[in-house]
Amino acid sequence: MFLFSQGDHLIVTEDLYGGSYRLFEKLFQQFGLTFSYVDTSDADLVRQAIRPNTRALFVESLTNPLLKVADIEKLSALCKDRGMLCIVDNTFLTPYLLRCLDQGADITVYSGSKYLAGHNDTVCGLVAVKDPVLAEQVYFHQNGAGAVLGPQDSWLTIRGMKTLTIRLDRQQENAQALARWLSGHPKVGKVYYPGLEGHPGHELMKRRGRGFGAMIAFEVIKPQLVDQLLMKTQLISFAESLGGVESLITFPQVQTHADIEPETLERLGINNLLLRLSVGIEDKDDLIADLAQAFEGENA
Amino acid sequence: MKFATELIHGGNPIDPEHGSLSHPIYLSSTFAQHSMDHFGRFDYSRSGNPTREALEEAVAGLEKGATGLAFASGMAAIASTLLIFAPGDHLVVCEDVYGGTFRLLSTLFKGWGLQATFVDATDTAAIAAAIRPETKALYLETPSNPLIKIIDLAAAAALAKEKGILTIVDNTFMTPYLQRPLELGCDIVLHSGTKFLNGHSDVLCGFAVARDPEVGKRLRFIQNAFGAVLGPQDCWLVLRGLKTLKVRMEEHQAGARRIVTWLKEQREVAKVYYPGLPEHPGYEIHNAQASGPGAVLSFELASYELTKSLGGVESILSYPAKMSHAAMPPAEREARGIKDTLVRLSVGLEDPEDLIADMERVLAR
Repeated sequence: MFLFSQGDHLIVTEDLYGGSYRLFEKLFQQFGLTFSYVDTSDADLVRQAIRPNTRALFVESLTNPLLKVADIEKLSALCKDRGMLCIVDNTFLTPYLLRCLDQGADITVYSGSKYLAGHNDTVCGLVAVKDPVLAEQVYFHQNGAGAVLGPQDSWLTIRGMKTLTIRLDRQQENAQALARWLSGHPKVGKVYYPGLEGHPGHELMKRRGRGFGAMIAFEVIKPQLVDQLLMKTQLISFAESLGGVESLITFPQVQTHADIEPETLERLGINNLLLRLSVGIEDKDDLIADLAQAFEGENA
Repeated sequence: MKFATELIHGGNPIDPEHGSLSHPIYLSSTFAQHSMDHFGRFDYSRSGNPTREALEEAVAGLEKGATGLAFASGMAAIASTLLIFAPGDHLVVCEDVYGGTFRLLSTLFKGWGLQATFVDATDTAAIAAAIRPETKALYLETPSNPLIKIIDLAAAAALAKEKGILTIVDNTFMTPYLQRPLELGCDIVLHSGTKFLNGHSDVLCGFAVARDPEVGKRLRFIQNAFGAVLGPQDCWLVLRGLKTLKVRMEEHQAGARRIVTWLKEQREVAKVYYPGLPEHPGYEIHNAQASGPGAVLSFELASYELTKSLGGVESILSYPAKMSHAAMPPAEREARGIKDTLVRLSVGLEDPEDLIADMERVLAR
């Protein structure tokens, strides 16, 4: 974000990670940057939001938590055409599943704490820049503002990345099974998982990527079930974060997305019924059994 | 609790679970929650981590502040602290500020509309004259880097208080063992903890300590939102390094005094800057606000040739013009009196006689 200065405007995915939203609205806005939030799964909406001072698009390739799919090839072509930078937060997919720079993006950013490190033991962030001149500018700010990663955490991340593909292969396989199982459960409403045929981004991801990732969002049929599931799951921990070998369940409305205004959350569908599941590499039968037992009980 | 005891026991309670004297390293990025309504003390390691908290409390305790915050580097601490300001705000900064801070202020934050005026802050009247209606803070280093100038912190803080603005002090050179700016009325203390606080050249880290809990709260918000935090393994190394802060500083300082005495006797040495020298213009003020002169000194050599050859043998020497202040344009350096013949010495824990023997060999050539 330090690449930009006072008066610059950015277009941003509307259902983005709450921490990015907080950084943009509560810190960078005071320095004169402005942000428009749009549904980036629709390139026309992005085009309509462009202003003369728009300098960049900040898009989540697969959104958090609603798993909307952005067409990176189309969006980066649009950015190129309008002289804007295309910055992709590719945390949910990793370069294993989607190569954004190959599809025309300028910069990819990652919370490496998630799939890249993959073991819930490191907090780190990574940036990959396509153009060496732009990379120099990013490096200038990395050095200037000094928010670097220590060598031990760097080493843990390198160690974690060795198993990225085998972890993700298993995580995706598990996620596909869990998404199907959830779709058939009587206490579950909507299931958001791009690996399901009915998902609006399914075909696009099939064409462009190497898989559908391992994040699932789903709605339960009544709010009491949220508490029940969070408290009763044994193997799936109730904790923020995602992408690690351990399965985690999160309540976005009060955890990861608490910094976004309630009206916005409601409009987007991040409501008091929505849960987010980060599927780990445990045996899928055990994960399904854990969810099944958590659904049973007083609210049955 | 006296300082030496606080270093060993402050902010570092014995682990109640197993009695471990060394603080456990909590590597987890996230923490499982037991209730939807009442989250545990920790939820995500960027927001808070038990190992980092122990270190932050230890540093806050040593500086006598309400809130301590650990960052990935000294510059991350400085950049995060500067995020409390907004475009149009103005800062009065001591002119020979660390080159990295100068770069941050003159590029990144300037682009964002934060203004800075650099003044000779050894003159409180010069600080007062630079204050404008939109001035939000004084940003000071004493002793300064690399010219070891002394700023009267109590006078600056009193002036700032009168104007309703913050006083921010980079206390890297002194550490809380020798100088505690918050006790002199300053508001925020910053550190490159990479230097004396950690003291073993094996960790990059930074700290911000706020006197007032409200300022601390704002900084904590930024620390979490901006996320330039220090990892738990590095936090643990710094906790370990802090234990020996007092014994290290005393030894560093004794070595520095010995070397200064020797340097003063050398024909090839044109000038020595050290606040322990009675002829230093800031001697009185420094003695009033700090309990020792520290272990950083600088000196000017008679020629640039000597300066170059000395750098070949001593790793603890640095050339401000080429290293710490390389980010500052030559004209700015010149204006601040940072000559090409200036050498800065951070005295280590080696026997000073060995260091002197090394330098003697070079100067005798």
